This record gives sequence, C-alpha cells and structure tokens, in this order.
Amino acid sequence: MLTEDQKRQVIASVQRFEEKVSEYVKGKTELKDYERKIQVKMGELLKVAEEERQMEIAMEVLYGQSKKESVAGKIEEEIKSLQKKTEILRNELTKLKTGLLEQMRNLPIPADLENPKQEDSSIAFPFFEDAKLGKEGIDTICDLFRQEPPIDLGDVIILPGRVVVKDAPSKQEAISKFVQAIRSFRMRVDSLSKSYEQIDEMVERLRKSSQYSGILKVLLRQGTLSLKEIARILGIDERKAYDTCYNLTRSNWSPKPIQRAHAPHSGDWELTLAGEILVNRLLERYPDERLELNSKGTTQTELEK
Amino acid sequence: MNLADIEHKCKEIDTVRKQLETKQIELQRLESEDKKKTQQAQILERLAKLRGDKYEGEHESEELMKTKKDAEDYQKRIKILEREVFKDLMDVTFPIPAEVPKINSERRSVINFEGTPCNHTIKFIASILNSNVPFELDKTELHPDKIIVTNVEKPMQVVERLEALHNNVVRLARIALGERDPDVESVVDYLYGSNYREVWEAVKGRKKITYEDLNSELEAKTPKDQKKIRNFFTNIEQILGGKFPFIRESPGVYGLSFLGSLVWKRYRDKYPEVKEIPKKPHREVSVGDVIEEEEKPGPSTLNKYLSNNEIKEVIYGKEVS
Repeated sequence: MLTEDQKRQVIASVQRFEEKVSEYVKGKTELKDYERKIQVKMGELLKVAEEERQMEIAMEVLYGQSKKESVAGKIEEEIKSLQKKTEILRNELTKLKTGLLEQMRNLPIPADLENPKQEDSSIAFPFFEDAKLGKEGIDTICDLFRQEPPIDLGDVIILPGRVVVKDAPSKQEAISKFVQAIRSFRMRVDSLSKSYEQIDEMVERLRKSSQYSGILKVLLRQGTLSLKEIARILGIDERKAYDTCYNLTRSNWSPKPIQRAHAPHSGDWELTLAGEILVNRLLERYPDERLELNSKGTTQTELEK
Repeated sequence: MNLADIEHKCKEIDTVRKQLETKQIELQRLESEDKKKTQQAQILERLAKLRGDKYEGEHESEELMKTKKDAEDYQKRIKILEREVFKDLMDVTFPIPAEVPKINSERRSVINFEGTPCNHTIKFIASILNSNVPFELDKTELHPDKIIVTNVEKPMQVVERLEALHNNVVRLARIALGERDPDVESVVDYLYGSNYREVWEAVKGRKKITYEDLNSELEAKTPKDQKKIRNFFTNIEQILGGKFPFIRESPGVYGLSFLGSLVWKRYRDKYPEVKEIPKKPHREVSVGDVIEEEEKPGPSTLNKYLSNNEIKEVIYGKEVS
C-alpha cells in the first residue's frame, strides 16, 4: 500500500514524535522531582520556623539579644527558587504538550496493513520495522488523553509495536474499524488542542435534527440503552428511534457517534469515543442544549441562584 | 481610571434609574386606564362593523405610547452607561494613600480613600451582585470612603487582600461585559486536569468545606485517602498561588473565595455533571490471546468499502498520503 519512500516518511515522522516524547517525559520527571523537593522543604520550614521563633523569644526575653541569621529565611529562599524553577518547567511542559498534540494531529500510525496476523477473532497489524512508536510514546499519548495505557479506541487497541483490531472476521473489516478508530483518535486530539473546526462541522450536523442530538444526550446521561428506552425517554416511537440510530452509524457519519453495545445478545446502543467528544462539545457550544440534561441531577451554585 | 473618576457616570445611572422608576409607575397607571378604554373601543368597533361603519377611534393613547418610549429610552441609556462603567472598571485604581497600612488590635486595617467618597460607584459595584453597601468580598469590605480588611496580622497581608479585591472588581466587570476571565479559565483547566479532580468536584461549590465533609463525601477511610484530601488544599495553594480558590478560615476549614465561586460555576458549565458512561470491562490483549466469541453487531454500517487513499490519509496522515 505504501511506497518505500512513503514508508521512510512514516518512520521519520514517528521518530520525530518519539524524540519530542522523550523530552516531555524528561520534563515531567524533573517537575515531579521539584514538586517533591518543595514539599520536603515546606515541611522542614514549618519545623525550623517554629523552633526559631521560640528561640528568638527566649533569647530576647532572657538576654536581650537580637536574632542571628535565620535558617528559616534560607529555606524560604530555597523554596522560592524551586518554585521559580517549577514555574519555568511547567511553562516549558505546556509548550511541549502543545507541540506534541500538534504532531499527533497528523501522526502516522506505523501499522503495516499488508501483513495482518489473525489472532482468533482479532486481527493484529504489526508496526513497520524501525518505526519506534514504543511504550514511552503510547504511555505519553495516554497521559495526554488522561487514560490508562494502552490506547483503547473501542475495538481497536494500539499497543507498543502493533495494533489489535478485535472482533474482525476479515482484513477488510479490520481496516474499516481501524480507520474509524483513528478518526476518533484524531478527533480526540483536535478536542484536546481546542481545534474544533471539524468537530463543530459534525456538531452542526447533529443539531439539524433534534432526534440526533437527543439520542446522543440521552446516551451520555444514561450510558447504554435499549431502543425501547431511548424511544420512551425521547417520546418517539421505536421505529423512529431505530431509524435515527441506524442513520448515525452510516458511512456519512465518520467517525460514527454511536454503536451497538458489545454485551452478548444485546440490542442496546452506546456512545462511541467520537460520540462522547461530539456531545460534550455540543453542550459546551450550546448551553441551552444542557437544559434538558440538567433537569435531572445537577445542583445550583450560590451564584446561579 | 480612578474609582472617583467613575463616580459621575454611576451617579447618572442612579438618576436615570430613578427616572425610569417614576416612568414605570406612570406607565402602570396609563396601562390600567388604557385597558378600560380599549375594552370600550372594542365594543364600539364591533358595533361600528354591525352598522356598516368604520371605527375611527384609537386603540392606544398617545400619552401611553410616549411614556413607553421614554421608559425604553431610559433603559437604553442605563445599559450604555453600565457598559461604559464596566469598561472603566477593567482598569480601575483605588484612591488609597501611599503609606504602609496600619493594623489595629482587632486585626483590622482601615484604609481611607483620598478625596471625596465614591457613594454611587460603590453602590453600583455592590448592585452587580445584589449586595448592599458596604460591600464585602472575601472578608474585605468596600465602603464609599474606605476599605476595611479584617483578620490580618501583617501589612503585606493587607496589600495582598487589596490586590485580591482589585482583581475581583476587575473580574466582576469583565464577566458583566460577557468576557471570560483568564484566571478563572486557567484554574478550571488546571483542576480538571489535575490529580485532585475528584476532590475538587466533591467540594460541590459549597461556601464552607471541612476535611471531614470531604472525607465522608469521598468515603476516604484510609489515612492515605485522607492525606490526599489534605494535600489537595496545601498543594494547589502552592501551585496556584494568588489564584488559590479558597480562603483558609481555620485549621481544616476552608471557604470558597469569590474567585472560587466563579471557578466552580465555570467548571460546571464547561464540564457538566453527567452520569458517567459505564466502561466496558477492559481486556488485556496480547498475541495469542483467545478472545471470547461475542455476538457481532448487526450489519448496520455502509462504510466497509474505503479507497486506498482514504485509508492512507487517515492512518498515515495527510503528509504521507
């Protein structure tokens, strides 16, 4: 599928990403180290300051002597210096994170689609040789996604060294699922880097039908639901609910916002990762859409009253 | 822009508000009179129709229309003035003396304003949050002629509280103008992304919160869990510095500051409280693993057939394809 030249481009691009990841991981470790040091120093300061205060009072009262050089002052200076360094490091990490997200928007997933390996009902695509999207890279992506490794995109799991597509009876079906999953992956990256152009396009499509947005909101609130429950909550008939769900899984919705739930013998529906991103963005952009969602559950703050 | 310089605009707002009130009372009277006249006019109009005549009378008196227009004009004028004042407040300064603040034995510091009192300005600022004068924000009172800072021991604390009050006034103006406050935004994003998200969400916007409240809210029974709750306050105070959204009231008791209330409101706007989608049980997948047979989802998609270019573009990125 890829020419040798294209393959080299993929490998080079992944390598650039991995280099940035190493920098990011190093920075994070350093930051944690500084934060730990600050904590230790703070504890030390509390103890020393109290001791010094007692001593100072005693010296003044008993001997009329003024205080000597303060150890607490020194520790305070050290803490200030550490805090300054932490702030600088935090700013650097924010910049690195932005850079990483920017790279991830176009990061090639170095899977060799020509050499799939059947593993029971799953199909695995190994990475190209020399394409080092390894554990550190995967862990960092998960860290940015605020999830536990590996990169879990529903039926598609990206592991160090390979991509596994679950429940794929054929290579064609596996590639189709893989493409859907990577679209969701990129949508997640767009959402994290607040680049909403494509997401908003889909949000606007959702808003064209109250049933589309209604189903997504209901699934966000309730989790997995049967057609019967969706129809009841939205006050529409089951046939209409089925047609709307079906439409939302057609190829003109890519990535698909909803999918059939995986539990055996289940006719239930659930949100996909893309669906979660879309409905959250919908609620952020159009707070009035939240009214229905808020009618059950959320509390009013003092300021809202 | 000095607080005193905004005074004349706030005074005008007060005057126009009073004029509007008078006009609205007049409007009520006229509307009630007009209601009676309208009923009569309707009767006459229907009778005229029956007689084959055209009814020439008026449905709404000229006086009523004029009063309505006057009331609308006053409302518009108030809105324009309010907007101007909010803009002025965005870079307001306080007319305070250039001397180190004194603290009395009750741990209070009174900072008198130089020049004439700003009655109308302070009343206007207080009205934004439906408060009376003096107006209190985070244990700092704003009077027309002075600021009183309570519960302080050192002059530097007084200065910090004055700075916080200033920031809060600017913040109020910014929010009233429909703009987002960058401090609120950064704290919201920090809390959402931090390890303490769960603890912060358990605060639930309460004005006063204790360690015990949070322990019970989060069912923190082990010393490790309880330590995380204590660390939440100490660590985020370290990290957020002046943007710390709480006020320490006594050991283990915190109050949500004004900034904290705004942060909570914005947090819930940005990240609504919704029931989490139950996660599918995670399965580790490795080569050779036997994956249980699951019922396949029905043939509900029409997107199986993708072109090579489409596949390449999605998986390998636009640069490669």
